[in-house]
Amino acid sequence: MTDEDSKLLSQIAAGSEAAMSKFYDKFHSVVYSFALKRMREPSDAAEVLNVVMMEVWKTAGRFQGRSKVRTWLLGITNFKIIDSIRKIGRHEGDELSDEMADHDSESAIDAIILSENAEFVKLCVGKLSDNHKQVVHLAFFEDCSYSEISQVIDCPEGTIKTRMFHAKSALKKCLKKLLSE
Amino acid sequence: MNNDKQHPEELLPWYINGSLSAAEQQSVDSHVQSCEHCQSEIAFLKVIREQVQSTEALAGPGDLTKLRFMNDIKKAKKDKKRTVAANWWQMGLSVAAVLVISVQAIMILKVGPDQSSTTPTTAKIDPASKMQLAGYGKDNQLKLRFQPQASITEINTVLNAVNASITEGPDADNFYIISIKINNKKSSEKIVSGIISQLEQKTKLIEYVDKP
Repeated sequence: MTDEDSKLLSQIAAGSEAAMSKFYDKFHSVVYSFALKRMREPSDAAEVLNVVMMEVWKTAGRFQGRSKVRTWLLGITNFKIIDSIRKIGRHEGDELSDEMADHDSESAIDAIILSENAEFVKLCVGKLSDNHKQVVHLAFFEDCSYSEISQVIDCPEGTIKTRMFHAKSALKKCLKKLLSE
Repeated sequence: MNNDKQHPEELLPWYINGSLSAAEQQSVDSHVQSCEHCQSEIAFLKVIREQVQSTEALAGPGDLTKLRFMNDIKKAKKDKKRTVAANWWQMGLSVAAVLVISVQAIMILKVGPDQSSTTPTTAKIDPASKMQLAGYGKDNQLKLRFQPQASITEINTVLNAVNASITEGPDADNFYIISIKINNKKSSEKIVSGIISQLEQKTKLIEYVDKP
């Protein structure tokens, strides 16, 4: 946690709207992109952003500095997303399941061919299951360590690595299918 | 990572995002130099990371989402003050009620039934709740809800085009009241319904327009 973030949270806990506004400007994209990755609908992600920031407003005083502010915030966001998905009852129909991650998907894909087919990558990442999307987003968009991801998702580090392994395999399988068509 | 038995391959996603500890980084570095499989994995993961970053970096909520939030915390602040005040009132009223009952009991015992009557009090309307679109219902006003990703600039452009401006909002449900400037009052109904149809076509910016 930087001193600046720590200061902001103390000011927010004391009821400063200006500090909350600064905090919002600094972290809204972290919350929004994580929510959008999982909820798909921009309006749902915006709703989660609002709920998460309100939680920060109410509970900033409880932050104890045991983790980075960003990790703490992503943890709240993860909880609110799960809550929101449960309320909406949305079912992500077209997902890549763990079963698709077989041995065949472990062979290499040419990175050059892949970088020329950016749309395929986007499509396959979008088709990942919610658990896999979480891990891929946090590792590759937020650049979180596996230890930070395990704090955000509240799972053992081993589970995070396993999920990443399955996400990677599912991506390869999906990409191979698209590249061969 | 303390487990020496693990294959460095499972650390590769975090090797490329630069979040490994110095010891892990060193261990993966020395392994990767002689492992072709891991080298190709790194190339694959780097492409995935680049794509994830370029795709998701575009995501961002509109300015209205923040306006709405700042409005919400102002309301939350007021509600908190009101709750604290209400708690004090509740405590005060409880004490007063006990006193009144005691005095009445004494009066009944001494004088007989109470002849006084009570005067009904008018509840004060909180200005915050009045903001629940107080102006709504006037001829030249409309109730709107913008798409969350709409920016203030985009909204202003649309509203300027129909000679309208935001006069109230957002309320708890994110609705706004806009007022339309109309010079020719005789044909205001036609102008307003024309503007409603224009706004209804802007589905990327406006989620809902309420017809008066």
